[in-house]
Amino acid sequence: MKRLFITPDRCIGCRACELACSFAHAVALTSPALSRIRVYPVASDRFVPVACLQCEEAACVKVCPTQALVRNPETLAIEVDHTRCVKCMMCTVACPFGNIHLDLRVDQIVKCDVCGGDPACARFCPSLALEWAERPTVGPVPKPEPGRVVLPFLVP
Amino acid sequence: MLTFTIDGQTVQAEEGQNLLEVALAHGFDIPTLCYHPSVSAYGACRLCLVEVTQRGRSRITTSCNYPALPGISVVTRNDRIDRLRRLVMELILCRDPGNPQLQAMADRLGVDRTRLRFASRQDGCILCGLCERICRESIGADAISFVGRGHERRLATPFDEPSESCVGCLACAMVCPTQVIEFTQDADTRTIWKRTFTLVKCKECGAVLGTPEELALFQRKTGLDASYFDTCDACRKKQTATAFAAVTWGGQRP
Amino acid sequence: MAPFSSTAELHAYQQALVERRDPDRTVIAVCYGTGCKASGATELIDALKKAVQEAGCSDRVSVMPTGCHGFCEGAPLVVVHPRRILYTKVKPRHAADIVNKTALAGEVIEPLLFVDPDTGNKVVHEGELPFYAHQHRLLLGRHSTTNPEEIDDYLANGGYGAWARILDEQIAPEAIIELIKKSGLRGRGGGGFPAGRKWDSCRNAPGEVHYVICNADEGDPGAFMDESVLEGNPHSVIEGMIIGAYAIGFPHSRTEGYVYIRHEYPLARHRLAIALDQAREKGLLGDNILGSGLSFDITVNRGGGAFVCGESTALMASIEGFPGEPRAKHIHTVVSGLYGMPTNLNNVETWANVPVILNMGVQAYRAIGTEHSKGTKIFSLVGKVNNTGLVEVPMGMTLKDIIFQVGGGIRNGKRFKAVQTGGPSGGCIPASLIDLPVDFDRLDEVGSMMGSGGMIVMDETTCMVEVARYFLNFLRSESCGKCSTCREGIARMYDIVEGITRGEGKPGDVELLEELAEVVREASLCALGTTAPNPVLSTIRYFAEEYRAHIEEKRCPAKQCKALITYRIIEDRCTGCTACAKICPTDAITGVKDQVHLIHQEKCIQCGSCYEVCPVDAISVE
Ligand SMILES: Cc1cc2nc3c(=O)[nH]c(=O)nc-3n(C[C@H](O)[C@H](O)[C@H](O)COP(=O)(O)O)c2cc1C
Ligand code: SF4
Ligand code: FES
Repeated sequence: MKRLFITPDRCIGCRACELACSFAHAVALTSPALSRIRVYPVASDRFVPVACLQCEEAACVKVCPTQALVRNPETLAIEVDHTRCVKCMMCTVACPFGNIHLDLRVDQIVKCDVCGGDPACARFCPSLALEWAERPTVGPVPKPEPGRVVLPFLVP
Repeated sequence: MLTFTIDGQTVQAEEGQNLLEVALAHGFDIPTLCYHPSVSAYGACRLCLVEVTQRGRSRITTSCNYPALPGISVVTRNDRIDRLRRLVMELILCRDPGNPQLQAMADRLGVDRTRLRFASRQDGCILCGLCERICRESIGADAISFVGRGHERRLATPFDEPSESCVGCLACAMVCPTQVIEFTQDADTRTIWKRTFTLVKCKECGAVLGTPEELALFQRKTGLDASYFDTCDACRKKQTATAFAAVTWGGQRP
Repeated sequence: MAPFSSTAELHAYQQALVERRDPDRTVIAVCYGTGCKASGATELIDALKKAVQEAGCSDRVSVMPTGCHGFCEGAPLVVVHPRRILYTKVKPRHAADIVNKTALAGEVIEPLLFVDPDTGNKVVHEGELPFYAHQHRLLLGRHSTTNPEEIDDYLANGGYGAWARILDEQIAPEAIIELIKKSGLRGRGGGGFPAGRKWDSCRNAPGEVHYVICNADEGDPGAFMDESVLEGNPHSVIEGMIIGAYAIGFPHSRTEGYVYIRHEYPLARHRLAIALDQAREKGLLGDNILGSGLSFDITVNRGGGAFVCGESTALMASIEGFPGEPRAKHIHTVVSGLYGMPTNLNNVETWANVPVILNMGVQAYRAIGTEHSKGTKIFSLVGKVNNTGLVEVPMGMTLKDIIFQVGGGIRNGKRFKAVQTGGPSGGCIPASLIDLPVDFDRLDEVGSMMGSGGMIVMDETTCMVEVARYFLNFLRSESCGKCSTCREGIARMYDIVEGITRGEGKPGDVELLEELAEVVREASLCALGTTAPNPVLSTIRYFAEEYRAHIEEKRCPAKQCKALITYRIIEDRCTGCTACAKICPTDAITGVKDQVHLIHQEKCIQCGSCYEVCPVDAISVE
């Protein structure tokens, strides 16, 4: 079973993941602000990408009064069933990690859904800080130099 | 598991499912205005009509509150059903011929206008009861209910006063199929069903968290620690990053 | 007195009662039913009681308020036993005479006797009244001799005997169901569902409790059959329910009973409460009734105050404390009804028939009625008929016999036009079908229904479009409002029909009404909705010409729709007496005394006062 692994030590803060995510989930508009994964700088050269952990005993699933949060058995991701969701926002309050949001621009509850089994963030992470894999790559991975990173999807 | 047919196609369903959910799950198109998968079926709009044949006897019935039964055969469309649905739509349209959501449904059913006199109250409410069910069944606030009978029926808060049990969560406005439940929100307050709530803000960034009543209800229902109710999700996500940093880099300077 | 613990004790008590009772005691029975109460029976009873006291004869003469005798036309009614002398339209001022002359001296007071309008003969004894003579009063017959607040009256007349016999002869519950099936008893509350089959399905449905409910909601306007049975003979209903509980839930389940009684029936509720208390005191309700092993008691529930609460699922929702709104019943209530348990609901009259059937025997009961409708039916006969009141007739009696023999024909010598049966969602049956035998199936065939037994007689002055409007108006307010088809459908049909009565009908209206009728009938949830189009459909079916006259010619043939009629003065008849000008509420009539008067149409509101008051019939209505 593949999972999304995050190794902050390898993150170079390029935010390719945020862009990729917002493209992958674009409804009407695309902006990194719409991304479900966010990269936080914690020091000048240290970054932490944060996305839903798809918790085993997920608080969001437990509190949802309409059973609108359902685990996809194939990807193990918790997905939002928008036909059931009434946007009461109990899940956003209950998530201890702040990983589920009401996005006013699309007027929907949004969270990481691992793109249905092939998360865009991991695909475009140049440094294996994000990996969609059975288990994470161990050991040091050479960090590309931030200024030299070429994002594949920006290539003309 | 039980088996029956919809438009000739064999389908399987769990006991306790209704015909509508089974049909929708199998991709059949049935119009609805009072159905929401999160709450109990009510059967108010009468648009979800289908024809059910059981032991050789056929009848027209609403599918949202008809149980899936082994061996029945269900027809989701034929001339009679289409004609009845169009008449139902004409009746519903009387309640507010100008409502965009109703017009969209009318278009879908091939009704261009209603030949009937309009209802006396044209507020766009079609009395589907979704707001009432969401509020009672899902939120647990029970702030609004039907009052009156027959052509005078409407939805209201108790005695038409601002409801004491309303928590201002807006779930009712969100599910309203004609989108006519009005609410307003400015920087500090939110008003719905004539009641004005003062908004609670995130202690980090000042973003709106909700109404105190709503948060108190959530806290009661979830049993979560009070600290969950003073920070917004975005700020909490940032805190998560800090916590992860501490795990990754230990006590050393991040 | 200790409660009876066996049927032997009950029999002994009954025996003693009969021996102790003087069959010749003098009792002044005053009908205290709906019609008589409205005509001053309360004051009359007080006056009679006072007169008895003043005459110092309270040891020999008693005054007894009873349930409805049925002959409401003569309200208030008094019957002096033991000779059963009948007085009609009695006023409190007659009280002293009744006590002193009739009760004490046996004299008949001529002016208080009823005069048969056909023969001119005076009727002295209750039994000779032609109104009763054509009836078959299995249920109502005892009302004028029974004190409903006294269980001993019921017991002395063999009451609870059917139940005791079941125990004495050890008739098994299944055998009772067989008997009820064989009797052909069908539900009297509307649908006419075979009672025995319902009991059987309920008995066979699994559940730890089996509920037995009596529907006494009776919301039809003008109906008071159930009210009068409960007010006149509440123990007959209780006995029926005990037998029902035994047949349905014994010994495999617990049984509980409810009577769901209409909000506006305080007297019936009061008398039922007394009857229940007395039955409990005597051990006829409660634990291990008469040592049978059956434990059963009855709770009284006050209705939600809406017509729709009489519908079975709405009634059960209401008992559970929810709003009285019908629910989908794709699973029958006999399997999953009140609190999800097997529930058997029957109407008051249905229950009251049960002991009657067992007492008279299935064969004798089956002999009354038609092939598929057995026994009698109580109707509330109202409208333009001479004898209004409650009538109990054998199933299958023709409309003609009910209206002309029992009902004494049409008032004021007018022509019979139609009769509306089945309550608000019944239908109108035209004069051409007057030979129709009245039973469940025949009424259905002609587009009406039995309903709970309303019967409104109409004459030539009744406009059938107006009749349809009247019932739609009732139904549009009494629909619970849940189904868009029922709520909007009836309201929109009302709009159209009301427009027609106001002269605003358009070609195509009738067809549109028929389209709406179909969707309301096919797509509504409960029987209120599915039957609501009946008043419109049946009037269109039999009186299409009247709709056409309203729509195309802007004319109301019955001269009832105000917007479509004009009052004029016939010049060669007018004597200039000024009576019309004086009575006109809007001063629309002018004229000099002794000269021809004139109605100014722009001021006339078509109230018809001038027409009524003119001594020389000089006003015409067009
Ligand atoms: C709108 C509506 C109102 C009804 N009201 C009554 C009522 O007042 N009394 C009654 O006995 N049945 C009433 N019924 C019929 C009941 O649903 C039910 O069929 C009946 O009580 C069953 O008893 P029965 O089989 O003895 O007739 C009503 C039905 C409908 C649809
Ligand atoms: S048919 Fe009418 S009365 Fe019956 S449930 Fe529907 S709206 Fe209510
Ligand atoms: S969706 Fe079934 S009645 Fe409205």
